[in-house]
Amino acid sequence: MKNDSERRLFHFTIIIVLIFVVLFAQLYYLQIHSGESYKRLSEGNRTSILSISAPRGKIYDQTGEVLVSNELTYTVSLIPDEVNELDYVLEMLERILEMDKEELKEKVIDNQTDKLVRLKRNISQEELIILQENKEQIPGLIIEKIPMRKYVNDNLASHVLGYVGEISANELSNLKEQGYRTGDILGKTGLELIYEDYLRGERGRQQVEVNSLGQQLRVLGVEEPAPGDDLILNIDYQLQQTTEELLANKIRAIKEELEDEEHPPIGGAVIVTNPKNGDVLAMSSFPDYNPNLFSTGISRTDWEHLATDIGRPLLNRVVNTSAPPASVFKIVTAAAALEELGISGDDKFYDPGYYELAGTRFGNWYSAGQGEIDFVDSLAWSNNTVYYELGHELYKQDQTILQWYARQFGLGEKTGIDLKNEAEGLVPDPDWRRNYFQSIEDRIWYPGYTINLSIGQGNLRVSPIQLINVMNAIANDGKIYRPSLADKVVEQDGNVVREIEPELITELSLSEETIATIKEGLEGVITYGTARNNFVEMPISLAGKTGTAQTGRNNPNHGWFGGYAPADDPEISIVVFLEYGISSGNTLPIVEGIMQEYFDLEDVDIEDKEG
Amino acid sequence: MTTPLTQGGVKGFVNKLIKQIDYLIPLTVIVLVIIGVTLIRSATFINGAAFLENPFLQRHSASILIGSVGLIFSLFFDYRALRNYSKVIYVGNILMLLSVLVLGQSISGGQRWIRFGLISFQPSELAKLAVIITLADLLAKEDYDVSQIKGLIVPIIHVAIPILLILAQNDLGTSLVVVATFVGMIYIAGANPKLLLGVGLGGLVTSIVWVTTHLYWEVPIPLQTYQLNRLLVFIDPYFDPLGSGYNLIQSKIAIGSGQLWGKGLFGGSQNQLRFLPERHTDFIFSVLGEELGFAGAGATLLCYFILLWRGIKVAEEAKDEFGRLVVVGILSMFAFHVLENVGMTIGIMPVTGIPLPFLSYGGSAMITSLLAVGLIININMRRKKMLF
Repeated sequence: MKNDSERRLFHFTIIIVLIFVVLFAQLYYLQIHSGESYKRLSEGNRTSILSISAPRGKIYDQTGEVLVSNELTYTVSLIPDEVNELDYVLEMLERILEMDKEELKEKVIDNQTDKLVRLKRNISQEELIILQENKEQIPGLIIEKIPMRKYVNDNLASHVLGYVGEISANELSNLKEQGYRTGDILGKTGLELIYEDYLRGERGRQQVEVNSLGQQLRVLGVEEPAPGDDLILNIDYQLQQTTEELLANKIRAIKEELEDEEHPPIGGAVIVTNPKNGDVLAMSSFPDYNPNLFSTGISRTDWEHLATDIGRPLLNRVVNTSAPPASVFKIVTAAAALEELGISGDDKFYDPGYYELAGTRFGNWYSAGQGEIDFVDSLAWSNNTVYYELGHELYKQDQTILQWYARQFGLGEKTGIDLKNEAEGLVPDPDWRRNYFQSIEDRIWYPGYTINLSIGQGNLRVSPIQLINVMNAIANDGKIYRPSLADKVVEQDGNVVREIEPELITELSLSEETIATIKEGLEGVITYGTARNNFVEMPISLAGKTGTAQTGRNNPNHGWFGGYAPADDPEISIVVFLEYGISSGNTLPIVEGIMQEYFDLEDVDIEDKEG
Repeated sequence: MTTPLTQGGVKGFVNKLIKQIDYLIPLTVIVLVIIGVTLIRSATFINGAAFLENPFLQRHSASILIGSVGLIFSLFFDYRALRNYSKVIYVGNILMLLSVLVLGQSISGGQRWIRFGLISFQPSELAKLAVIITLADLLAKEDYDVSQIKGLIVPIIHVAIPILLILAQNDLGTSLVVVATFVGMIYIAGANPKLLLGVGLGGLVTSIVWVTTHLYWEVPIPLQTYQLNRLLVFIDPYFDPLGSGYNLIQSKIAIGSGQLWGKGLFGGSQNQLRFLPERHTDFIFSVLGEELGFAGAGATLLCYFILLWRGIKVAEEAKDEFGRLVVVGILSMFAFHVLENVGMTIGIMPVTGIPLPFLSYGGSAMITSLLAVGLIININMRRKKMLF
């Protein structure tokens, strides 16, 4: 019995020893054998610095209406360091987010500067729920609430405001020193791009505890981001909206009236400014787009849709296109003739219906001819014959004098408005012809070119924003202020960071008589000339000039109008451009609608007075 | 029945005690308790708070004090006196466990606590000691031949009642402790090793089959979801990495990253950054492994080993069968606690919520453990060679 008892206690001892051997062995395995890798894990188990995107500054119109703001949205991000099986995780995300796996992989691989890769912005409620449910199976997954750019009125002023997007690899390499990182959002076009430095704000940081599974446990410290500065525009929200509606409705109306074989108008542009300081009150380009599409990262189909649309909805036709201005250019020719040829307003001319030069006949739009006509009336009636003759006279005096005047008005160069990629336009002259063409025949400047130029045809190219400068020069007695969309930049607490003062670009050396004569002609256009039918009942006086530009054999004409009101003391200047808009007559109802809105006039049915 | 007081007064008793006892036993316990206090301080560290401003340390120190006083006081009484009260202890224990089910408070999945005014007590802790004493008494009577299956029936019923009551509190861990204690004691009492091995293996196979069939064919199983998950994550911690597997993964990271020398007291990132769950109670060993490394954890294991080894010596020299069985029961209990608790923190045992003796925060367990050591010392000082 005693022996048995001792034997059993011995067995008991052996079991105890075995237990401790096993414990020691596993402890050795964990701490000594694998200690190094567990140490790495525990270091990854500590803290991680994540950046907090700053909300961009808001954009307001001149009345305080919010045009662009920010909305908090859920964004899916990944910490690649925490992911062991990238392919597996990406496959899961591909299914949940309905995004291409390769596209996701590219994002992860391209990521070099930040710990966090933003995979998809503004996920839906449904996606959010699915992700939350599967979070445990996706190590390294982080769902953040971050501000997303919100264009309050969707398409409104889309070309002016521009859009934002994720920084591209190219932009990143250029902007790295300014603190940009992968996944940052920046202005790509429009005011978003021009005022990027003010709008972007300063990123904040937060220190979070992240465990070895990439799960965010808690926030240890937050350095709040500094929101961007707000931008206040000269744009008037109401006027902008009306302008856009008028433009879009008119273009659609023209399209509807067209016969099948006829070429429809493609787009149009309207700009309204204050001639006394260059403030842009409205700027619309048709067709437009919804910049909100870009805020979340535009989808491939949406992008293809925008990029292949023949109307080129992303193009700002006010600033980034140029076309022959046709008869609106007669303002420039008139100024040159009054200054250089010693002509006065009541000088008489004779129009047989054409102007002949060396056997070539340059025809008037009224082929029977208007007979005897004085200078002011020739502008009001847009008589081509008179301007051919004036152009030829100017050519005989100096081959480039008319071009010199055109440039004085700011044509052929950028206006310097606060938008990118402005069209320079073209003022053709002998030098240009010599440099531009190959064949000897083409490189010669013939007097016929100047004759064509005098009525705004030929190779002359003018953008609507340049033409507003021409109108402003007349309206403001020779002074041209730089067109400007933004009024000021304001900090969150209301401090003005930067006031954008009116900037006088140039003051034309035109005599008072010259300007007065042109003004008389432009008022005549409205009261008894080419545009007489549209503004009979308008209580506010308007001055302006129509233009119908020929564009080639098979294409319809461009329609133009440039003007200002009230004629005696202009508050606004207006340019309307209808690309392939058939006739300048189509621009007039738009002008009328703008006048009604701006001067708060009773709504008169536009359709009644057409034709 | 004589008490030492009648034979030589307190002074003589103390002299004999100091001469007779194996000082390694109280010494290792003191070392373990000090390690425990230090680790709890680190695990519940409050910046700027003095030692006793920390509420965990206040309660822990109080438990140590109560347990130590109880331990020393118990030494004045011959352990054999307990046999007279065996029935009372058994019935009292059952009543206590029943009262938990009726009055008890639920803490993280288990209904194990009972309140007496300000003090919460966990009767299942003391129940382990009660089972050991009463079972030792039962087996020492030699009324039953435990080498035969027939002879095991009464002892099995004897422990099955408290085990079932403890299971009813959802305390799987403590039930297993009692089972392990029972196995250790009946083996020493002469149970057939082949039988024990067979039952053990049979139980293991049954459990595996049961869990498997439950998973695949939804055969009913008397386990809570969290208990089942703990078993499953033991097989693969990444089965539920942020749920049941989380503790295990974090614990292994903590211990592994401690390497040879550890990150230093208060220097464990897993511990200080609160990654470790239950770090002052069930996962105190993880804090130990992280902050004091293989050296500290190994030294602590060595302390346990010394305690058990010296305990076996006490069992060998015990004056009677009852004493031997009590010591073996207590040693089995300690050994199972260490195996299960340390084993789960290093990933070789499934997670069950049982504390590490002398180290974990928890008053009932501390007092129970100290009283258990008191019994060992009691038996040690009244061993055969000691003449009263």
